[in-house]
Amino acid sequence: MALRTEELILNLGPQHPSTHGVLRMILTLDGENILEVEPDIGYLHSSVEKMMEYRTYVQSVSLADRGMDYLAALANEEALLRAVETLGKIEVPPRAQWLRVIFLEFQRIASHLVWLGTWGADLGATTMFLWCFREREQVLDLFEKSTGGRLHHVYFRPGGVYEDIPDGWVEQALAFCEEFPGHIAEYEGLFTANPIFEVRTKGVGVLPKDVAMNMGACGPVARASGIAFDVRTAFPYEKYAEVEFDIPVQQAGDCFARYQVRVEEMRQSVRIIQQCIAKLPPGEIRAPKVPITLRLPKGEVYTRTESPRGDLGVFLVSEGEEHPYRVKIRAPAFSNLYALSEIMRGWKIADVIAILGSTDIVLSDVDR
Amino acid sequence: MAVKLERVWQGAQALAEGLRLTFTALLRPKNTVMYPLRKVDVSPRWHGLLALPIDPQTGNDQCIICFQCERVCPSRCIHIEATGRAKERVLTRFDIEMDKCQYCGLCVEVCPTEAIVFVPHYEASTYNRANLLYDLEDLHRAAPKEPIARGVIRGKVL
Amino acid sequence: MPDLPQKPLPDGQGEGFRVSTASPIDKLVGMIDVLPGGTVILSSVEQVLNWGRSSSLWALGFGLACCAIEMMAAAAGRFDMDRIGTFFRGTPRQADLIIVSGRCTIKMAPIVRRLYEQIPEPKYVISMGSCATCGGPFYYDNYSILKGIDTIIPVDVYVPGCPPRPEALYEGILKLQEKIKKEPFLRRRAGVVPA
Ligand code: SF4
Ligand code: SF4
Ligand code: SF4
Repeated sequence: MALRTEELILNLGPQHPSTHGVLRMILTLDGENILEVEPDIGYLHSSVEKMMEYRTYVQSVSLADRGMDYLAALANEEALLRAVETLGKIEVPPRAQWLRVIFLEFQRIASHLVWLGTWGADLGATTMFLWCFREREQVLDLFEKSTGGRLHHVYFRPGGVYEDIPDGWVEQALAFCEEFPGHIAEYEGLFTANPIFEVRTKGVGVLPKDVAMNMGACGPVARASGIAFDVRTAFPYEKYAEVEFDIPVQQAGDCFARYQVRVEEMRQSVRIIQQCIAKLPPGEIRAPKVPITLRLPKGEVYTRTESPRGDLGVFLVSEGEEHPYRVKIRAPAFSNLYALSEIMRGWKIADVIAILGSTDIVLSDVDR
Repeated sequence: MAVKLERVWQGAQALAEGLRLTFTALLRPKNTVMYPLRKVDVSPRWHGLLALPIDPQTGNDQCIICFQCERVCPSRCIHIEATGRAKERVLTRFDIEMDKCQYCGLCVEVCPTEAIVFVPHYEASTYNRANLLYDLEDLHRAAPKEPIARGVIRGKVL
Repeated sequence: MPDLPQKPLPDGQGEGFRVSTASPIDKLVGMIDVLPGGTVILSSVEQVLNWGRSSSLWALGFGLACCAIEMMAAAAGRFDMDRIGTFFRGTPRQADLIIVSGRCTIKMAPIVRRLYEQIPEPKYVISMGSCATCGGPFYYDNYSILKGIDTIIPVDVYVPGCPPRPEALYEGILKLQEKIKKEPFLRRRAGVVPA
């Protein structure tokens, strides 16, 4: 007599240490194999798009920190302000632009470190978690010295940045840049050649190039599938056109490739920061005569920036008032999550954690 | 078979490398802050609690009751009321709901007289949410409302 | 004391009669309490027990939003929460403490409530950050965020900040330890001290 088998429906989350927040995945299982994946999002929907319609642009900056991707607060501020400044034709002084690039790259490092640490913890490498957070604290110290916040900064303003960097900051930042590639080598020593890590990630969760293209995957996830696209080089903003850096691309499209891309990106960020600091000119940090209750002319604009998670776009409609008429945020984590849940079928349950972790989702970015 | 042996050799190498790294980490200086006894030097720009510090020259705060901070606050957690005219204008109420505050610093930015500032206090946890409403007196005192937990006092052991 | 389903009453006993659910230990506590000097003995026993309970508060590894990142930072190397006996467990069954770190949406509220109910007694709640305390930045014109986690579960310590520094969370846990050390939890269980 044959064994009676049937499909099993398993809830992963919302409270699960490895879902990186409050994501719920409804998995249909056949034994250990996954037949169907249905992500259930909305557990962190904080309606920032709606709230921004009732706030001035400066107030929206503080909201963009929290309501959007909270691991990369400065990248959100940049994304929102790109739209505001493009529509309002506000000139940002060069020093402020260079400072913004420096801070955006530090934010990328901090965000990737959180990703690497938590992903390592998901895969059972607790050392990685401790080490990544050790270096992240140094970045956060730099942030704290300059912006006054560790996670949420409210540092960028329409037309510049709030405060100039304090004395001694540049030296500390350079010292960090000097030492950090050595730490990256340490992470690679722990992970890259490790057979356990290889078995869990190499060839797991392959996202083919065409699927990545069709599902709108972006950022490191797309670059790991062979799509050499980065907003920083394709549509340069701030001073990205004037610095030299490479866009790491991998062809394999598996979890390991995504890991390689992100680790290489951290190296490139260090390179960008070093160049920026060398080129940092003296001068104004804030455009004069940008009132705190800024009124933008009537019109609409869509701008895109490269957040640590990918292509972060903001569509902004203004009716000529202090408040935006409508803000729509194109969240990179959202499309990456859907691209990955598309290819999760056929893998084992244990791989779900590795695949999900490798997308670097932030639920606040998915749900807004 | 040869492939398997190679895998084993690779695994052994990776294990040795991992152990070497973790053991070198053992010899590096510790970066743990023994928090209750020792504290991190927070930066002077740290967005801690808000305060209206007393100006020693006038014996009062520097607020000129312009309501700018109340207007700019994205959390709408500042509540100001005042009476009197011109020179005799006095604050009757200056409440900040520290539980709603998002520590964004916009109020500090807009204040024309630098009356409202951030103080680098961050230890303000409390048993009762009502204690997070800071009124004028608390803001003048520029200190957390409740005593800091025992064992947190610098240099003293529990 | 939890209300257990009542046993069928024997004949002749009227309404309102309640079968005692006190465990033998509770009965013993109740008996010691009425002895001369018993309260002193009880409170010293309690102090020892409370010391043990307060020094190993296991928290539920459960992050909601941005504050969870600072909670992770508190658990990581620099602020090393294990030093004060707090570390994260994956399941509520093994936890004593739930740190509500971040904003809780109305969709998430029943789950937080259920997680709280799954934690065995005695259990404690720390509300970390402005959002968990009262909705914070999302307080006054938001349709999706709960206006404070204390509308669904009782909170012991509120930690203000957005996000609170890891040290601030630390101080919250130390405050909670102080609170636990003062608790008459044995006598409360036996019903000799009002809950
Ligand atoms: S820091 Fe921001 S949220 Fe807090 S009182 Fe000032 S303006 Fe309001
Ligand atoms: S902005 Fe400054 S001066 Fe004006 S009301 Fe606020 S604290 Fe007073
Ligand atoms: S209190 Fe601030 S940091 Fe914490 S969850 Fe709310 S918005 Fe995020």
